[in-house]
Amino acid sequence: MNRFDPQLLKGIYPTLILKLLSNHPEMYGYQIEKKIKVLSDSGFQITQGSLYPILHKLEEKGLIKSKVRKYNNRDRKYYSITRQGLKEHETKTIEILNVYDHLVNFLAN
Amino acid sequence: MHMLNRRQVHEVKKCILSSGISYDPVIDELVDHVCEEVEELLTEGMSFKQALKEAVDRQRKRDFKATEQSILHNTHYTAMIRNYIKLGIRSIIKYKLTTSVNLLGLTLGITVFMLIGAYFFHHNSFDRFHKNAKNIYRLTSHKVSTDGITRHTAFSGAPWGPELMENIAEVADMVRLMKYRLPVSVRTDDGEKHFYEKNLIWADNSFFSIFSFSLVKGSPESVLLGPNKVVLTESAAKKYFGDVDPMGKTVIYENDVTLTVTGVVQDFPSNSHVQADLIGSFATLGTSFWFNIIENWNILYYYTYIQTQTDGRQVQIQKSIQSLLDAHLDGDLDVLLQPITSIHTSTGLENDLSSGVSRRGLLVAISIALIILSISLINYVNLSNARAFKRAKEVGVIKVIGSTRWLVFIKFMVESFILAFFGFLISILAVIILFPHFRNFLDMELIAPPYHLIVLLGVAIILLVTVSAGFYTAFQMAQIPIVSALKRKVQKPGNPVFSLRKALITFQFIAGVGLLSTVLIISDQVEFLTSADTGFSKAGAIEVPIYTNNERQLEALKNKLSNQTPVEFVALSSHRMSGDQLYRSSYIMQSADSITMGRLHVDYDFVNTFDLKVIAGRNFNKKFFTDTSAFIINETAARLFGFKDAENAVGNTLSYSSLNENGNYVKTGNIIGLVKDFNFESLHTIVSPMVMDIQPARNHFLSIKLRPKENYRASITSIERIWKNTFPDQPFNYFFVNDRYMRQYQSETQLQKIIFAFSIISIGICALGLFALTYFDTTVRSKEICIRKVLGASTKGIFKLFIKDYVTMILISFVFVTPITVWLTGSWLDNFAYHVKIIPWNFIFPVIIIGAVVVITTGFILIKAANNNPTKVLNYE
Repeated sequence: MNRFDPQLLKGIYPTLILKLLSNHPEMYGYQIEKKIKVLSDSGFQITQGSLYPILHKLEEKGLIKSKVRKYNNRDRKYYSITRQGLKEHETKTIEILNVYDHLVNFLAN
Repeated sequence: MHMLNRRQVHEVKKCILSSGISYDPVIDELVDHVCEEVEELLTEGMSFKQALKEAVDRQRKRDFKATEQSILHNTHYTAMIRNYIKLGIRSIIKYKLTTSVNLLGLTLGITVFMLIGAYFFHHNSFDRFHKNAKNIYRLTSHKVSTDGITRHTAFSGAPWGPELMENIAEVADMVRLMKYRLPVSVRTDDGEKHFYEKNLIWADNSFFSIFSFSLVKGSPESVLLGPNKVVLTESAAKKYFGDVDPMGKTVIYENDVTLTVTGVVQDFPSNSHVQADLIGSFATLGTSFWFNIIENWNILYYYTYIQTQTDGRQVQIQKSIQSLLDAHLDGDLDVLLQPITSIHTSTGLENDLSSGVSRRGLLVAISIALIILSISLINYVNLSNARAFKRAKEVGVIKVIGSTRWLVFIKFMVESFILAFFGFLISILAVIILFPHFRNFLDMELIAPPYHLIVLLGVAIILLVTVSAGFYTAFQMAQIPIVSALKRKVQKPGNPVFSLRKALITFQFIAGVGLLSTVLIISDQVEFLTSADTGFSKAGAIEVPIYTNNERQLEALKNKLSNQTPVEFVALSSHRMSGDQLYRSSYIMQSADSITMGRLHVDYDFVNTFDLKVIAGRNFNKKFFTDTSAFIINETAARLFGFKDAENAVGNTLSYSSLNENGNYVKTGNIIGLVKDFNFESLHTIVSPMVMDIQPARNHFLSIKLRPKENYRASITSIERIWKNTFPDQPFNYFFVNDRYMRQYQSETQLQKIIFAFSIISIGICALGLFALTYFDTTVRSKEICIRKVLGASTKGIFKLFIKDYVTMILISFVFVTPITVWLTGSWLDNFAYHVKIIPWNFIFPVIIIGAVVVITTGFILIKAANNNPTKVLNYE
């Protein structure tokens, strides 16, 4: 599958990340990047340049939290979702689906 | 999957840093990210170099710097600080050795500083709780006698105070105190409670308005107005009357004078030089006893305090007082004003209400506290600094790229702050735990300093530590030439002949040697005090205060006691032989000049009991009737009377005039004996001229000399039984002369204890610091050591090379420290009329000790480093 225009996807990346984290107890940056790529059949390809700022922003909002652990001679930061993040994920998912409905209606007519 | 080793991770990090980012949370994440990618590429079969190039090429397109900026742009600065705190804690945990050395040194330093600070604060807080403290002065008297010796006493005359009030406008108020030097009998009127009170003072009515002791019952204006009134402290009230309201009740003083309780006062704070359990009204004197004495201008037996209208006119008021009193006083007597707040820290006044501490001793203590604190601070700075040099490259890279430099700065500061903060917290905890033990250790009451002072101190220390360590390090980092930073050439900060670090280490040596030599000198002196030959025998002697002058009863008691096998001698005397102060009077020998001599009243067995050496003439003897009016003098007295050959004094006639309730009377008698000087007052003062005679009415102490090797406890029990048979209602309060004699050196022993304990600690801190510093030095210079080895240097040679610097520093510190210590301890020793000499060994020994500490700590690490396999170390880079 071909890669989508990143500009088009910018707004939904946070929700994708939250979605992934709601399914996994914890993930680190590279893992998230890979997972998104795999699950979207390479359609969504987030770069580290977008990924890490988003992670930091989500963390600052309290939607996710992080923990640093030693891994193989280096520090690795693991992210996990918070209760608030789960709520946000729900509302955002509904919102995106709504947008999708409207978009379909709009574009179909 | 392929895993990267430590070196490879390091390579990755280097690559990422070269893009100019410096915000640690981002660096770590990106390192992990790229590592992961590299590992994947390695699994695909690439070499590490290729994989790294490929991974970085991929990433560089996406730009690390942009990632960082995007994150920083969205990060609130509080989050950033939070991040750095997290990071700081992480790095603190990461470098366990340095952190613990750093923290331990710092904590010890702060803890010791606070404990000694509390000691210092306690002694300085004396009498400052009085609202009028600034305006209260005590009159002291200074008399130069014809023999040229000046006697300083805290006493003044009873009529002085009222006279000053009347004639000097600046004197707003005055209060006189009188405290009898021996315990007095006080009982309730039903006789049920009967105590011998050590702390009964007589005071004018103004006592409670001049001093700020809080009355619980009674009005400060009138509690002591008029004769036969008494105010009790809360504990005294409880002791006499239990839970019953004591107001209006009566107690009987010395079985004779009835006193009515008119007030209750809170127990006196321990930082007051005036201590009392009962305060009687001064007007009782002269109306119930001491009828004429109280009007005599020349009897100095009272304490007079004045309160001035304005502060700061001490000198003028002193002048007016002197000219006013000169008209009334016989002979030359200088009257001086002593601010109440300096009473506790003045020594050298006789007859003081309570023993103070020497100001010089306090100075020594606080200097030591400051030195220990600075040692630990310097250690801290040195260590953080040394550690930072390990990161020199990191910093150099950052500078080359021109990255946000303040980020680096904040990083060092935050780390430093965290450590300082924890250090202080732990210290507070340690102080809270140690404070009661410290009190026990010193064997004294300590007032804890108020909270705000501790908080202030904490803020000051944390700031100082953060700024000095963090700022200094950050600043030094900023000065590293970029090229050498990148080439890892910032290796040995100690390379130049003079460097700040060397100076700081030298300071530590100075402090270490100085402290140790101070300990040695003070210990020598304390040892001297405890073992000095005082000219009389204290071993096995006990003393008991007696409360009667009934000669028949006392004689019977003496006989009964002498018949006990464990008892060698029994004697009576007017004074304790364990640090007492004599009465002094003027004596005239024939027609010669008069000299002031101490008067010791004794009985026939006294000389034998204390094993005084009669060097001419003879001891008192019951067989000679005339001995009741004879004198024995000491060598000093003979010398002052002008006898070159002291023995010639024997046989001369001596007379003195004495005041008593019936006015003046003259006593004349022959000198029958001469004793070798003995010092029972204190080694603070020189032996004064002294005369002994027999005056049974003036005896207050019973001395019992026990035979050596007796079971003292059993002997004392049997003595007590005999005492109780003779005096059923009088307490048997014995004490060992030796113990009591030593107690007067309490402040010296305390000082020695403090300095000793804390010097050991500070030397420990020094050693810790040295250990850590050499550890760093050698790790940084490991390459150098190995190259030297490869080129043929022996382990011994390398050791010599490293130790050379330290030896120079120790020698420099020796030169610095000797004069300072000689000055400081010398002036402390001057407090003693008899003291030890400062000898070179006092300085050589500490140098040896410090040298040994250096050799052992550095040697340990160096030998380990020098024995490393050079190929391993050299291969690394």
